[in-house]
Amino acid sequence: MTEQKDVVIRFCGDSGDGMQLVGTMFSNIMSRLGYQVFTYPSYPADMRAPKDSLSGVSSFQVHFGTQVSEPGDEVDVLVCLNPASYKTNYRSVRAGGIVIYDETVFDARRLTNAQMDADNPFGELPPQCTVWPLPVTSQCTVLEAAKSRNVYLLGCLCYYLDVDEALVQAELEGKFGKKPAVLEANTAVLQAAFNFCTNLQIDKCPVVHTADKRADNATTLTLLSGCQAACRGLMKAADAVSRRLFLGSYPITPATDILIELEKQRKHGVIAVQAEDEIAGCSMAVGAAFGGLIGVTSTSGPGMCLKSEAINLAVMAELPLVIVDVMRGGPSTGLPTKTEQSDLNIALYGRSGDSPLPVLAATSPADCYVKAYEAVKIAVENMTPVVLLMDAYIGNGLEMTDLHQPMPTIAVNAAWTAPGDADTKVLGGSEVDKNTLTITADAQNHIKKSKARADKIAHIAVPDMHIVGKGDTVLCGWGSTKGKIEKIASLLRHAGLDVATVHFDHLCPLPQNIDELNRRRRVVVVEQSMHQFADVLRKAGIVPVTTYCTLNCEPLNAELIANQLKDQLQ
Amino acid sequence: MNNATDFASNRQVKYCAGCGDYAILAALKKTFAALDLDPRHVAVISGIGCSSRTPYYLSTWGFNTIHGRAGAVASGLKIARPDLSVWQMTGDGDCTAIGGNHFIHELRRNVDINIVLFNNQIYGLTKGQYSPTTPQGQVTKTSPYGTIERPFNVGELVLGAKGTFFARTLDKELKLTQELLTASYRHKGTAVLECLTNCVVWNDGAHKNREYLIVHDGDSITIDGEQLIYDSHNKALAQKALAYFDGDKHPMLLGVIYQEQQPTYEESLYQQMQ
Repeated sequence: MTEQKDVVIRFCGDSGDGMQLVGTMFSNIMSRLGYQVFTYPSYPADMRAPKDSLSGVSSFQVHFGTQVSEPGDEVDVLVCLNPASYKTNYRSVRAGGIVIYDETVFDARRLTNAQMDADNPFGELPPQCTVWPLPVTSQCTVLEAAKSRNVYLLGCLCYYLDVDEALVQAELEGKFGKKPAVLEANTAVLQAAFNFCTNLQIDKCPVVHTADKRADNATTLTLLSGCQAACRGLMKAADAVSRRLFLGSYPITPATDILIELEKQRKHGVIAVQAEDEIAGCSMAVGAAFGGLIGVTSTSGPGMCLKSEAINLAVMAELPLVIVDVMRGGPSTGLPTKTEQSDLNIALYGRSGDSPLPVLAATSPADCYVKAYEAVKIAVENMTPVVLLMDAYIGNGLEMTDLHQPMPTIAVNAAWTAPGDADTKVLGGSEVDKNTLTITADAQNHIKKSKARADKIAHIAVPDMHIVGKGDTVLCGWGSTKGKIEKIASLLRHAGLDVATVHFDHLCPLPQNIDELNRRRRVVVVEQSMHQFADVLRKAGIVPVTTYCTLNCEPLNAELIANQLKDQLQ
Repeated sequence: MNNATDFASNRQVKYCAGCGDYAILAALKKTFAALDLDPRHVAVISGIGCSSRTPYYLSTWGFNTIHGRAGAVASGLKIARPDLSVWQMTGDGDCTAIGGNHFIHELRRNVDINIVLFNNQIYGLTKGQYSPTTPQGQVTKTSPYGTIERPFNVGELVLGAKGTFFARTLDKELKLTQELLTASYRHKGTAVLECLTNCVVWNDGAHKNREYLIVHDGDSITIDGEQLIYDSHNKALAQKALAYFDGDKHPMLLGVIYQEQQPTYEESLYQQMQ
């Protein structure tokens, strides 16, 4: 492996093999060493597919280095716990990459079941790849620690990357400290892995010596998933205005982590209630907002459909509310564990009547912290529900987050009164007179009120759009694809194409200077929906807009897209 | 169609190893075979959850609908097509949480549907959140300090919602499950069979440390020292027995616990159309 500034590792194995756990531990270790980290976990949709089946493969990708803003496309090191996981992932290994695998389980039976050639299992790898067999299962069996195969691989990988054994041990203690028997077994496995590598005098990877580290990483940044970062942002905002945070929610992949995380924060004064269903969750949050608390509900696509009426109540009653939608493949039940950006339409338009509300979209796991805070700010300053769009990719992905960064002040709207205040009010979903607040079917009043609701949203201050680069062609995206689109643009520039980029994180209202896009010759929207955002731009008068839309269920493949766009854009 | 295997679909069954759902699925296939049902005229409707994967594993017609709404979809189907044998696969979360509203009205309406409620006292598919049947105080993914709410007793819920048939079985009791599925089929009206199933991954052993009492009409039982003869047509007795034999201080009741005959919704509706 030649020197490089950042590395992409992908762990893969059967879904019961602990890939998510080992990936998270490895990410923690690398972040503590001072690297930037960006991860992407991938889960099978089935609870537990049959062991060693192709549909039961789980993987966890970690990109670490100096400047990382996406999980990486091609994989430098593929760590495989069984043939099925190799078969499902080998295409991502780059030329000159490395495959580390558990040789004990690459037996004829499993190889055949995984539709691999038992005589030449690694024949399909690109040129100059190395394969590194490890006696993982046989060693773990000897140690009577069959469940710790993932730890053995972690040990060997860390040895290879010149990570101190003590650091890995510390991570094990952090994770398994409360289960002494498990910790003991894993410690023995870790030692065995390091001993094996030492005895065989395995070469160390040269990459580690060239990647710069940020010395301040360990103390000022925290490794969080987007869902966790969003929780911190919500809590920070509630703190900033000295009001309790109230979450009404219901289990739904991939947003459940928000409910789980906030349920743990009771001692910090956070109220989190698992309701009987999605509608109840949202309605409870509306109730809490009526009571003067910061009301939040979290969900994914199917829940957005259900919450429509309750959100509309908050629109009409002009109550602050935050709705976090962690998007997944749709429509309907769709692809619960796969990422997509196809809830833009329902966020913008999915309510009866003329019902505008602000829509934000986080651009990375760390940005979920910033956007969750901003969602609360916009909600309580303007007395409106706000939708924050995330997706499975950044909801589950890990990134170093600065929880100490300065945050804007929040000026709670004076009109937000609540029971306990002397001036009692009766709110509702009916149209009421602008001045007296009594229910009325008067048309002129309805016209005035509708316009007022629309103007309220249209006048929310949103940062100007910022096109980076002078190129004639602008690559345009929104939400989680920011890092990937920057990479696509960078690859295109390397190939001699002068492309500019612009990224949107405010979808309603849109930036005021959006017209500037019309001064460029070409606008190419890259998104993971059937041109929902492209249509938003077209509606805003941007012409012409061409699109690169993909429902690939994974983070964008920057290399692939750059290659495909290269020809289109010549 | 005489063999249980005739009711297996060609899709791989993907329940986790050791899941109680395998037992229920086996009992379903055996029951369908023994009743000589024609897969073409059997419709299996489900919501969302591990329970709700069941239609994929049967060779009958099936519809894996949306979370909590199997009851509504099944009701629509049976009213539209009373000629079909309609079975509803649901779970404790799917049925009594998000499906609660549809559940109580389905029971009150008494459409001739056979509800099979897989109760593992947890949300399995979404990985370990508590459900409305999880015991009070249990620590789960979403109740790190223990659940606050008291759980539902499904039988009491059925009776309270004017249900006309309630039975309960345990995944390990294969013969009993078959017997009760057959009884559900024969009951004209909404039949609820609560199957206590083990979720080996997220709530292993939930039904293990309990005593059970299988009851049949005519059996002698003792409640508070009073000896009684069980009669599943006696609602007051059923209510008393459900509360007393709760699996906590006394064994949990298994078998046909309550049944009554009432006109079904669809037979009355079609009569009005004459």
